Amino acid sequence: MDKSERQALGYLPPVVKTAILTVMGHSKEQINEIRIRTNRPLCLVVGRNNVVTDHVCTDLDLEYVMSKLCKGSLYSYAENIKDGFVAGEGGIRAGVCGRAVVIDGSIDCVRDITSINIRIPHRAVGAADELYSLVTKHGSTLVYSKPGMGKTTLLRELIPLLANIKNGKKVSVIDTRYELHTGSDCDDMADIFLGYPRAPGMLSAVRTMSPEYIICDEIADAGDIEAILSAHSSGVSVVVSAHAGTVEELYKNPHIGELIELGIFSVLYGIKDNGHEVTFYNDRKHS
Amino acid sequence: MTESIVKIAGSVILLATSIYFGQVKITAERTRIKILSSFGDMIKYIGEKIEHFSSPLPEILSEYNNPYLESVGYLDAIRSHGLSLVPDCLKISQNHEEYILIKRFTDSIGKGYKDEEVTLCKYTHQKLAELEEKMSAVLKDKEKLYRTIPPMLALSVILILI
Repeated sequence: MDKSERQALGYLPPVVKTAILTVMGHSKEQINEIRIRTNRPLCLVVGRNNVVTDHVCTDLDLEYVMSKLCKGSLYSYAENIKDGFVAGEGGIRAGVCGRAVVIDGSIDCVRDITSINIRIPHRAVGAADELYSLVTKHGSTLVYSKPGMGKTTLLRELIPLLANIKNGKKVSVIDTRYELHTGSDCDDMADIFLGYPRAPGMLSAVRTMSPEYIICDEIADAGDIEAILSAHSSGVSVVVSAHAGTVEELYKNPHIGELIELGIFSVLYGIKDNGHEVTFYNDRKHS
Repeated sequence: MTESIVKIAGSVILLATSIYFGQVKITAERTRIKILSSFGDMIKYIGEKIEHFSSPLPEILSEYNNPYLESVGYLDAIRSHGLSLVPDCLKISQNHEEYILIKRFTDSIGKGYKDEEVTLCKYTHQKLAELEEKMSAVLKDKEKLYRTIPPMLALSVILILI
């Protein structure tokens, strides 16, 4: 088990830990997700496979995990829980859901957590080498794929390459969901905007950190787009990700489509099941 | 002669023991009130920190200072092992009112959202303060009792046996 997996196990009650260790045995495969649901069997995502264990999770198991994730202080994580996640240490992120208390159409708080999905980040050294060459040669890049294909992992691996001490590049990372930067064992020189919402984070980075590159995950709405336009007009190259299986699907989001048409992204880097697909803006413009 | 000396010595020991016993009980009562007051103060501090800063409990406890709790080692223990240790720090029967109050507090704190946590802290602090006031009010009477009854009992025994 690697360091991230051991850290993730630290959030679990002993009986759940035992169930996982029993199932995993001496397997060298990596656990990517630990899914805990009330009165349902504990599930693991190992590699790309779903593994169902014999242990049926209880209310107490979920309470234990939430207590550990929130350091015994649920109130301190209220805003994150409303957004559906709690950030652990070392880039671990737990998605949470339960019963929403809605006031005037907005989620006021979430009670009775019934599902927790602990996502475990793993290093994939070398995975971002091609992306790194594209970004340094062509500038702003949009990484796209369906959910769960590794966009966040790719961006995470790009950060130490771009912000390497030897390169001397100024990189700002807008880590809204605490997933991009895994912590103190990284030897990069990136400026990390931890927990900042994407748009204010990007604007703040441009104003205060004079970045050459801004890295940001999961752009989607009009605010994010405005911020990207502002960064681009300040001469900053942006490397962002978005959910879409194909370039055509990217265009279905009118905001992202607009950015592509304006030529903000020189490269569209798609992650597919069988590899990746690189589209250059100039090629697309002339096609 | 020897018998008289032994009786006198025995009487002195019995009297001294009864006075010491009374003093121990008085000290225990005073300590109980002191601990109650200190924990009440800590709970009030926790509530204020949650209300104004939503700070996580480990951070609140690391910043909290209380010379008395520090001197008896409770503060370090709570910082290392959490608030669930507090009921045991009271070293009293689980039937005692303050034990029940504090146990309810430590079982619930950190599991709710801000408003609930603040309400819990305020309620517990208020109840502890009322309890402290009640105990302080009867402390003088208890001190009189502990100062008189044990020595009186000892003297009675001495008189009966002599």
